[in-house]
Amino acid sequence: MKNLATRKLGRGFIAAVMMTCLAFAGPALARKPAKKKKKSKPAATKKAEAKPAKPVEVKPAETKPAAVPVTAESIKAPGDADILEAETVAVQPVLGVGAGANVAWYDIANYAKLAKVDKASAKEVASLAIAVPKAVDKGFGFAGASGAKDIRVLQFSIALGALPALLRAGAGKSAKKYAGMLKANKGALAVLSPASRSAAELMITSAASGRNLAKLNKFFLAEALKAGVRGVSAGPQRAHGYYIAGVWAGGALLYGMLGGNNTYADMAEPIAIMLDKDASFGGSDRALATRLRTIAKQLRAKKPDVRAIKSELAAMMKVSADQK
Amino acid sequence: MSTASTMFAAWDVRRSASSRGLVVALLLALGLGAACSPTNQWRDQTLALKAQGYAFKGTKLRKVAWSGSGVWIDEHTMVTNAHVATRALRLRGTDDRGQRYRFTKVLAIDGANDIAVLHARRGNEDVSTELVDERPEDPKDLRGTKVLAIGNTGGQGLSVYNGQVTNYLRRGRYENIVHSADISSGSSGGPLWDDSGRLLGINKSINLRLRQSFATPAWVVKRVLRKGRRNDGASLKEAFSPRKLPMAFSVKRRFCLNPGQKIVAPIAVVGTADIVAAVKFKTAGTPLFFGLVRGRSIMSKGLLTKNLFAAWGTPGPGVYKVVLVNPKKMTKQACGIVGLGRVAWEKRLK
Repeated sequence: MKNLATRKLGRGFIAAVMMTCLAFAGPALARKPAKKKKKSKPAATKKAEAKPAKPVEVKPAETKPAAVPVTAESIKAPGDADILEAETVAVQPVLGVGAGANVAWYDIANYAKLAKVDKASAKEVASLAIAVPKAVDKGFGFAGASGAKDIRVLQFSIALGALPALLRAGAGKSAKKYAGMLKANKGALAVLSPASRSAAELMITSAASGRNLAKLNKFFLAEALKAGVRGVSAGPQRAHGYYIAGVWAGGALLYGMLGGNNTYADMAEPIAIMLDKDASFGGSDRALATRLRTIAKQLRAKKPDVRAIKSELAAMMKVSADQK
Repeated sequence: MSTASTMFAAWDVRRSASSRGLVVALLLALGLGAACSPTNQWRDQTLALKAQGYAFKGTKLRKVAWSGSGVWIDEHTMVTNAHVATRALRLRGTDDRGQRYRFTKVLAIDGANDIAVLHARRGNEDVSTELVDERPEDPKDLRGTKVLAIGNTGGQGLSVYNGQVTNYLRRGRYENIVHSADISSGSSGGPLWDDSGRLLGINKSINLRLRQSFATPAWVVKRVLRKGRRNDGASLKEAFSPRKLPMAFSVKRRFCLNPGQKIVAPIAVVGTADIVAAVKFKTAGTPLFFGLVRGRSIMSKGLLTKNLFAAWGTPGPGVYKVVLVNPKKMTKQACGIVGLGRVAWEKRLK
């Protein structure tokens, strides 16, 4: 078979390629023609007509050379389209990289400490009403598919992220109330990494007990986000993705009330890209990405509209799971 | 007259020169001119820096030059910001009298507090800068202290700014003096003098929304100086060589890409940073395209063929996307681990 092919084509190098290809594909090619059966006839007639099988003859024209393997050396520098138009299958957000180890986080924490609260915005934040999801019926088992679990994480973490804003707005009672509800339902975070859960617990304990409130305003929010990002890489990705989306969105209330902050606003985009493009996120997540971007736009405005941020948060709480 | 008050006199004189000629005349008449030398001490102590080095552009390097400020601590030691010294292969300084100096050795870098200590010889000229080297019992008491900031604004030479300390912030070893002196670009690494003429801090950043400036306190600088004096240091070329980069990863992520697929890592960068993406291949013979994208425009692109990294100097804050693509032409899946983070120069001098 090999000789036939090489004689007909008459080119030494193709012969070599063919030999290599056939060495791998030979058995498959030999079987291939056998698969090309004529339309099957009823079993009765088939039996009567049964004849010994003829040797299969492969004509060169029918033999397609297998694709020449592409070597790493044959790949040259990419064009713009190679980079931009490839299909995105995974997104890994990285929030806050600076010249020093924690520069980004100190930057937003310092801002939270130094910036003055806008009174009208604080009033808006104080009247916040969030439906903290109940973790319920049986232990951590939520009704519905895993998508529902993820949505619970999102709702929980929006309330969590809003705690520093409530405290800074002087709504300590509301913060305590929310912290109490979150504490009672912290099972909603069971799917997350231990680091993410303990960062969340720090925030809840601090708000509930009234201790370390200064740290809650500045650093615990950053810790929750940092832990969440690491969770995205270690998995489960989707739940951690929702966690950082929720905490960031809830935290946006604080920065909205303080007159906006570009560093914090910039952190929304990596999360939004993940919700928008990553293959493991579904249709409802695209809507979430748009909401995050709208909130980020508010934080970049000269005078952020806290009411608008609140309504985006309310809309995020209503997002439903994709999985049936 | 103390160095400090004379310094502020100089500062006042500078201000008056534009609008209060009479005051200048009076001061001179009062004989303050006799104190001219200490009055103008900052002119010998403060430096306008010019650096020549490189910036990362994926797997390539690009020559660049930039400006900053610095301050002499003694006749051998100069302090500036880590972000001014980093990646500089040549660093020159000029004081306000036109005297030029060359710095070739770096003794210490503290990335978190943004401080770099460099070595040079001033020749025969002595200089001694007094630092506020002890943290006050309550640093918040510094609020209200009048300050003078000097900076090489826009690389055009030394400019003088006045203000006062508005706050003090601390988180562990990370400390900040917040002040209202309206410094601008090029002032990084410049001195912040208190009203006694002591070095209170080293300016490092500004926040336009808050209209506040940030400086690393002098007692933190002293800590870095102490460390620097213990070190032999390294030449600029050794410390900032682009080979075998020291890296600090924020996150590591496994990936498996079929031909024509990509993984995207959007990175929110604060200030300026040298971001890095290092890839460890798990499958042999599977090259990857890489790119750094901002918005829809590709800032840099290339090919990774072995266990390699790509680094980029970001021109400013914002969101940058690191993209890794398994080329469409390939027939194999490409798997590996990508580490994303920054170049941690300070590791070189630990």
